[in-house]
Amino acid sequence: MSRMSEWLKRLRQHTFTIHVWAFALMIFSAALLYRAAQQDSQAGEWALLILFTLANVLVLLVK
Amino acid sequence: MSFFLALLPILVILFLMVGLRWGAARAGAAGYLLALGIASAFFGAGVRLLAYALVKALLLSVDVLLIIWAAFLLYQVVDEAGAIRTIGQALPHLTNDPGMQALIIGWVFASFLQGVGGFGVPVAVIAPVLVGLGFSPTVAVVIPSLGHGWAVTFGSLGSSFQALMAATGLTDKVLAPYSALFLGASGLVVGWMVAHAAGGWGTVRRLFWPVLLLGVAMGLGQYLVAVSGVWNLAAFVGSLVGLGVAFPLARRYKGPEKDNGDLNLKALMLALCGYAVLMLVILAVQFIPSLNRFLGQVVINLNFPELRTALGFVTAAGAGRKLAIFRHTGTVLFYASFFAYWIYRKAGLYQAGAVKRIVNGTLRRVMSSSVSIVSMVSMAVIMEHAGMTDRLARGMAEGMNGLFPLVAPWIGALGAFMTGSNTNSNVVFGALQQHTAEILGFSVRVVLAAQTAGAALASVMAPTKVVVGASTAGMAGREGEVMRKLLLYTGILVALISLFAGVGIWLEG
Repeated sequence: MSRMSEWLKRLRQHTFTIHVWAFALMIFSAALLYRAAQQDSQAGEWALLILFTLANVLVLLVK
Repeated sequence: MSFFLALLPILVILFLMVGLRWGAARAGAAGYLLALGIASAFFGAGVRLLAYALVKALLLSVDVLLIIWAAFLLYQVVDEAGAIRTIGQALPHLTNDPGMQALIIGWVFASFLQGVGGFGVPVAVIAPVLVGLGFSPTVAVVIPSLGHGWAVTFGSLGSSFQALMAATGLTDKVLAPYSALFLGASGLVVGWMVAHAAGGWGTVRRLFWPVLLLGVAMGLGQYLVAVSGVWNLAAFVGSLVGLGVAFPLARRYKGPEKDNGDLNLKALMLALCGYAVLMLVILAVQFIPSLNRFLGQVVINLNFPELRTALGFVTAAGAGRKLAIFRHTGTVLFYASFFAYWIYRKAGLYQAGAVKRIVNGTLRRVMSSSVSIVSMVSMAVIMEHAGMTDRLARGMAEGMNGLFPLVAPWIGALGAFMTGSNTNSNVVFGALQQHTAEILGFSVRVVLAAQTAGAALASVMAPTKVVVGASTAGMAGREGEVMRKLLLYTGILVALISLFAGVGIWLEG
């Protein structure tokens, strides 16, 4: 538990970097989603949707 | 039950931002996650629908973000050259009358800064100037906060208005007239409020006619530019007209003699060059047909199939938001930024390392809002495609009926207060207000004008903006004093927009 809070504390010291990464992930995954949907690739859609969602979780973790 | 579930992401954002004081990026991410969960679990949104919704959200986000990035880049280019400071220092030379100083600096110049910059810049720049002129810190923050609100929708080179068009799919021809009318009329009242904040009712009576003249000039300037198709310059030109009227007016209200030092006219003209370039570039792209056609050759245009939830809610097939990437308002602002940089550099106004500071400053300021816009736009588009927005609109239509147009500006105001931005409010509530108005048979353009005007006027008391103003005026930690003062003024202004919306609906039949 304390290791988790320590990790979160360290993460929150790099809010700007986290925002840059999260933003890049969101743009990248959303752009590729169009291709995945056009090619009827359910696995690709799931993977990219999860990636987009993880980027939002990352933003949620930092202040 | 389904109405409450559809409302939950919006309620959670509101609670997180207002109750727990979370930033827009973090709250937006929470809103997105909740909307995603509710859309899949309760509204039957499958992975294909969610995938296409996120692609559409990406197009809408880029449409808005290009303007935000470029507007802030231009501001950094001008600020790094010392031009904002030069313009700010020149203004007290016009008059020593505190009421007129408040009007010219805290209303007209604040609106000018909103027209070209935005993002809290007017309050951050002007509050310390007013403190230097002898205003109390609280009043020094309240005056520019109030003063720039009417210019928010068409300010920041039109980013909030662009967001309204993107969220609703309607054109500037439909949305601009009423929006500019409501904001222009409220701008006049803002002027009297600024006079009141500066010196009470005595100052309002003494400066009644100057306010009327300045307010009509700025409001009319903004209206004419907005309806002529150059909406991204509307607040900028409106406030520029105001500055033009303010110079001769200030001579009639000079106040007691006081030494403000020497005015360097050459430096002032050079400082204004960046904005002259901006006007020239935008007008050239807009009105030279060959240039307009040449830049419009590359278009990002994606087609989307019909999408259907498991509960049967259908989104028709069609094209997404088209992006003419080299003719986009944001890209045009990038061109203007490069020209302005070149001029200031030739004039020797930059010190070593200027480019690095400009780029770093822009990135640091826009990154958090970029993340929040992508998250909130994604939330709004998922809600729309899952039928959640439609459910909310139907619920509101049943609950409010004939009163809806009067409530519309308060919904916009709530969105701006909770997200700290007119742009975000338009993204989150634009489509909802549009659908509700359609269901109830009210004029969509009047309701959407009320949405954006209410959001613009209330955005000035969003905690994020007040914190910026309070910190630059040296009263960090006393933000509550500013918010208490702003609450009454803002409440009156949003109520006024309710009245305008009622009259607009009556006129539209």
